[in-house]
Amino acid sequence: MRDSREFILQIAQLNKTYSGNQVLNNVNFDLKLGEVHALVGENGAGKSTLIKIIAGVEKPDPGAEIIFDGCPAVNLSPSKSVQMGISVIYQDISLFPNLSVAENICIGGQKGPFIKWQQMFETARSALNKLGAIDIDPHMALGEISIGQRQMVALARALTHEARVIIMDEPTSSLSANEVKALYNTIQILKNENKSLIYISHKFEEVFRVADRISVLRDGELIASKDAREFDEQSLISMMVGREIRFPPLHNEEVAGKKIFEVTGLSKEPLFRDISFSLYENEILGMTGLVGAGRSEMAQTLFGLIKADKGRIFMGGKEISIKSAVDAIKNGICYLPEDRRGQGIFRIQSMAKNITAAKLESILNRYRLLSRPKEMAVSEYYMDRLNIKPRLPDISADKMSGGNQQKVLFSRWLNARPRILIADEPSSGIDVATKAEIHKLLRELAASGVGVILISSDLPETLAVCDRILVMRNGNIVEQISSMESSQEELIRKGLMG
Amino acid sequence: MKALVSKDQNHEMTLLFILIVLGIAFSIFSESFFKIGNMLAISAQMAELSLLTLGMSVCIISGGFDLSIGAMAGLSSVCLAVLISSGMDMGLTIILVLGLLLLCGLINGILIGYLRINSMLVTLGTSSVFMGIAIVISQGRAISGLTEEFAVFGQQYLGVIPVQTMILIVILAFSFLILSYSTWGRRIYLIGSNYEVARFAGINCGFNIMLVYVYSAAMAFLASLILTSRLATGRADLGETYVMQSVAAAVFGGIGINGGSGNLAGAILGVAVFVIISNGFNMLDFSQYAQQIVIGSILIVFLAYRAQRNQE
Amino acid sequence: MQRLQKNALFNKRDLHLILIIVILGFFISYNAPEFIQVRNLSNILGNNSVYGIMAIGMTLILVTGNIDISVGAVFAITGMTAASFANYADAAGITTPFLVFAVSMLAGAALGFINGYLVAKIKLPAIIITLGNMSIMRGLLLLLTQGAWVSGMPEWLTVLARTKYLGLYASTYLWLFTALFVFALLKFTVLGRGILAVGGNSTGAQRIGINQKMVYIFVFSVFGALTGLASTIYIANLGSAQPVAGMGYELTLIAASIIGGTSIFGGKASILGTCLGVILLGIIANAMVLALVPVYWQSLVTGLVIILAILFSYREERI
Repeated sequence: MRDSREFILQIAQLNKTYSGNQVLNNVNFDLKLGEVHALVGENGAGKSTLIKIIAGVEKPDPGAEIIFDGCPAVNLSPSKSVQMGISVIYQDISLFPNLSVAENICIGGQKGPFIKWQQMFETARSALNKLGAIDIDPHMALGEISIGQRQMVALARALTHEARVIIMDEPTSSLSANEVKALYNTIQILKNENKSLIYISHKFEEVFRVADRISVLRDGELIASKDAREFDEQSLISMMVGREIRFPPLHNEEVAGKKIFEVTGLSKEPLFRDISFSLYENEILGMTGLVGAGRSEMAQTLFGLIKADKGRIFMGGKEISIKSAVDAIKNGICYLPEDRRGQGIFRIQSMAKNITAAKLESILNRYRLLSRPKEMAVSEYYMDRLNIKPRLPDISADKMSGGNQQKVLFSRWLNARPRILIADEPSSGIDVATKAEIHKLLRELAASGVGVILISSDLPETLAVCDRILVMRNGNIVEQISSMESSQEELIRKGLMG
Repeated sequence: MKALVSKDQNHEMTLLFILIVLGIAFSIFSESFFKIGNMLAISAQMAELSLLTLGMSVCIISGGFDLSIGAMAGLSSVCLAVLISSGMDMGLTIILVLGLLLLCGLINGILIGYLRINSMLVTLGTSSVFMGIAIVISQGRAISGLTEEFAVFGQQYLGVIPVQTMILIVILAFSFLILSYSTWGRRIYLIGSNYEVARFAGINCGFNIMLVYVYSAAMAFLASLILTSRLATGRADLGETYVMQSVAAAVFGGIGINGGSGNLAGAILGVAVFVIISNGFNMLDFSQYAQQIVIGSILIVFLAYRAQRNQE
Repeated sequence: MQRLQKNALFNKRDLHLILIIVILGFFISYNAPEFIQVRNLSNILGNNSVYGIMAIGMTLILVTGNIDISVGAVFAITGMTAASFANYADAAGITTPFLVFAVSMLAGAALGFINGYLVAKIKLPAIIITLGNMSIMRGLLLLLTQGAWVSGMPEWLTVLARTKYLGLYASTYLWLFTALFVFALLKFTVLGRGILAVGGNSTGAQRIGINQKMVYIFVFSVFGALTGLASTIYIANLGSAQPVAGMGYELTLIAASIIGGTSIFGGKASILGTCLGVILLGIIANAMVLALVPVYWQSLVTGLVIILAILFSYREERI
């Protein structure tokens, strides 16, 4: 090994498997003292898993070697990693909305049984000042300040706790321009104090601005780890994407048919505004953009879960009004949510109950009661059609793999007879084979007359599957392009930078 | 074997096993325990707690609690007694009071289902109000003067079978049917397993949850009908002790406290265990205090054991 | 202006409550002038100190996101323990009430410890665990005492019920001390802030190394001890202890806490608010007595106040 005094953190042979799915594959990663090390990669490349392992939230597969400050770190736990001086700045998770800003900054570091309020406020004040966050009052309750300000508070905590390794996960995602500037200054200050930073970002501009070294993760493997000056934007993008388009293009050959669905001027402040688009027969419409661009919220509005401020929706030329999800389903609008665990799957219920949940009417007998034979028949039909194995409708959903769960969700909405199906990141966290099956299914649906909208951050996927692509940024549609005539690089630039 | 039997069924088997062991034990120590007459008496004793436990179970399955069932039963009891003793027709009285209780349930349901206020808070507050109305009407006294005719619900037999047992059987069959085979019942399970997921599956959560509390109010009404008839008095506080007992019986019967799991058969078995313990202890001349201790201990030990096993 | 609010002694909710109490007070005194007399006011504070002390303990439990249904049983057990001990001590020639208080509070703390230990250890909601414990405790007490009261309290204990300093009953001072103590605990100690942190974000608290189990055990033990304190005041006031005392207290205490602005989801508490909640309920009860409203109206009025408080905080939290 190299001189260990130069490195604060060294990780070797790191593997991580989730239920048979390898998310990290023999990763070797190190972090020098006083270095800003940027970690880039597409969604699902394994960045957050790597961070969670360093923070002690997840355990690596056996055989990994983690050396912190020259000593092997075994059995990391969240509190142990905090004690060692590793501080992860999550968006909101580690903060206490019911306590004051000052306490959020100082908590965990007090000595003695009593709180020294005066001293605490001073410490907090000076930490915040150091970050240039002079507008944040340490006396305020954390719940009362903006998300961006909370990010600064989390940073201030890392600063106060004398963390030696600070991990920032998309730190600028909710910061204003001034706050971003302050953040750059802070990073400089931290570097001067010989602290080490791991910086995760999708925004290349930032990465090139702050990073000394850049590591690229792709599909769980560390592709490159080099001095930042050795990269340029082009090379970084091609490394991130890396592969040839893996999915065979599934574009539809025919010229788009008649218009089946139209949205005009749909707005919901502050989430999104003035969204207008049309969907044609036989077409898959892609929607891409960064997480937080307003895509999911827009979809949930069409599905009736969020009430729009204004805007009109037309189905087959006729205007429809959607006040609730019940209305949406009645009109044939179905939404397959992004967060499978939190919004999609009833984990403690059987596959069959999951499949039939959205359209119980489909399994009623003539007395308007649920019919078990019908329920079995419906479930087995979809389990066959979507190739869900093992074909056991009574098994509880949390025993199945993510891919199977996603297929169950597709079954649920197919059973609801959609006219418009909005699939929100349907292939995230799913193995390649299932992804391909899902893509094929989407195409089949489109061919059979269902209007398909695919929301995805996975660019190769979007380009391969969709016929037309809308790019959203900060709640606006900024671009509308045909997938035939654009490349990933072009898409990345339009959606992520701009 | 184990793989074939699902967790729920496993749980009911355990309860059945406990019941049988208790039955054998009591039969050994007391000759009169295992007689038809006593069995029927047990079924009659079960009726009131069972009905309230049905209501509570459905609330818990939907992800909530109804702490106001005792107060609703008290309110209903007082109203029944006042109206009947003042000479009103029994059929009309029952319809009026049932209507009143459904209204109470509707109030709970709107606050919990549509306004999304925590069910424990809401029913805590409304239980004070319902109880308060009951006390005001009864002026804090027990009301007697019920008619002979009214005794039918809690003191008479259909052949050899007590009327309240018949009521229980009918209601149990009905409840089992709607909970397992109606769209409402299924949706209640789904909402209870995960409210957010249910919302994203396009389920009208507000309406379905509202009906849950209407159902539990109806159960409170039936329980109070039997109780009032059996005791031949109307009392505001007559349901109070049943509230926590029904929570205990439901949870003991395998209704998952986090919602979405368990079934009514288990809940009724839970009630049966409690009632048999109390019946058997009475036969053996054990004090009711000892029963309380045994029931509490079983509850905690059993649940701790189950929580431990689920973690593994 | 946010800052003013945070630094001030009262938060907005407390001010609202004070305002309501004052307006209510004016209204009552207009109709029943004897309400505003010092003697009546000091009676209200004296009579409600039993609730007041326990409500503070309940607030502490609610802050951590838990609940304790068994408080009534603990109240009865500690009361019986204190009464028996007082008689025993009297026979042995001891005439100081302090020992009685100490014994009662220790007994309460022990029972609270059991609750807290089980809640921390078994991954089940506190409502179920304390429900089971309530049944066991109450059953044990009734079994051992066969329902018999303990009466004939020694004079040196019952005199407390009549002792006044500066126009206020001794029990009122105990309530005040309790409030100050718990207020200081929550405000100025690392432990107290840990309690709030666990209630606000328990995962986050564990991440920074706060021992959640210890916090649970601590708050339940404190609640037990405070219940012991309250029950001793209660038996001194009454001159006897009953094994059926304290039935239904849990609901009143939770109600007072909620009225005072404590959230049942944890993390938010106001000790002053809880005290004001108790006082508000006490004043309403008192006013109804003065207005010669039959006592049986009390539950209805209390219920309406609770519902209003819930709707009010619901609105506040939504906005």
